[in-house]
Amino acid sequence: MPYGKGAKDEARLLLGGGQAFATPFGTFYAPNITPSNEGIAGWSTLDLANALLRGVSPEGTHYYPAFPYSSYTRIAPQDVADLKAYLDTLPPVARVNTPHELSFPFNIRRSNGAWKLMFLNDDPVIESENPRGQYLVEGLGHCAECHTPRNALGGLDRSRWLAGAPNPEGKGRIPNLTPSGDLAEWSVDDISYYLESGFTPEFDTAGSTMVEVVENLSRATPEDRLAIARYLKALPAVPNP
Amino acid sequence: MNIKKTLIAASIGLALAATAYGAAHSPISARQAAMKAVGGQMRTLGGMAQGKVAYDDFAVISALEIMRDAAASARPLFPAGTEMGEETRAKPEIWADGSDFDTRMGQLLASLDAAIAAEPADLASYRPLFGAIAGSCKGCHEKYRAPEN
Repeated sequence: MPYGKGAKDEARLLLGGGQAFATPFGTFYAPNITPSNEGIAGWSTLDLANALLRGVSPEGTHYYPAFPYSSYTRIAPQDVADLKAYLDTLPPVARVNTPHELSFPFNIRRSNGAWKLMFLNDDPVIESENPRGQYLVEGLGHCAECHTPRNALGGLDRSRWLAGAPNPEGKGRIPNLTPSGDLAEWSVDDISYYLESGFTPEFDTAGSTMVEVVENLSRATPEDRLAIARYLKALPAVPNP
Repeated sequence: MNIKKTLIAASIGLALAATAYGAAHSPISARQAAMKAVGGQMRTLGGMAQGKVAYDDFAVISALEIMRDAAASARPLFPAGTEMGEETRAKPEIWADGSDFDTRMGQLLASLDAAIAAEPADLASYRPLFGAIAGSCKGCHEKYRAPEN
């Protein structure tokens, strides 16, 4: 049984994995990240840092970039340490990981090394005078993983940074967050309120994956939500295609 | 007639139009019109809860009443056999889950009735009542509304 998607209350803390991510390269399954033998029991903080910042497992193999380390690579060391300490407190779940279902040539794990040479770096993507907003959006929040279109190899197209993308799950388009995109009429306060409450300025409700993003961001501080909103309002404008 | 009263009269007119529209059209387009009327009132109610607009108890009660009538008119507009067509975003789970959807619709109406009965005189007493209404909108949309195309 997959954990995560749509989980409410205490079940939100059962990070046993299993959620499927459909992509053009195949279907990826989120792994168990609980402190159990099927999960990441025995990992050191350094192991977690290598995974998040470099996409490398404790055995030294490459993770697939469906694990958003090309964003997480910007996470500060102290936040990695705090995350590790927190993950250690979560309930262990004994769920064995589901292998990814990938077609040739994407099933060759070693080729992720070449992918990283092309697409993994921790440079800031845009110039910003809002370091906190930049850190949250480009790093921890990994917003671009869905909101930025990808090239044929699955690398993020930085020339259309956060300018919206096809929805890999099929239906609809993932919104363009730049000032000439889908949030053009939204103020900083509108964005911040949406991230807290899930209500758009029209008082429509958040849909699909954003429901869970909002569920999480409603627990962030008001200052962090405002920092995210300010970063988005200052993005280079990219019109919808 | 001042601008505020004109606006309120106009939105009452819209809500009545949505109800009348329901009588002459298919359940799918009628319930979409009713939901639009609900959404229109949410803008007034939400703006006030956010403190964007100065609190006005008269406008709040009016909006709540229009919203309750629109929500009540939407409730019977999900008969079996209207799962598909006309770009409905209603998920088939509405019909598969049996009475849960109807229970939730009932909760929305109850939260509206409670807010109307409470006649909140200031923002502090209004906010939690609005929170309950907004929570019922959200809970039901998350479960029973498909993403936009």
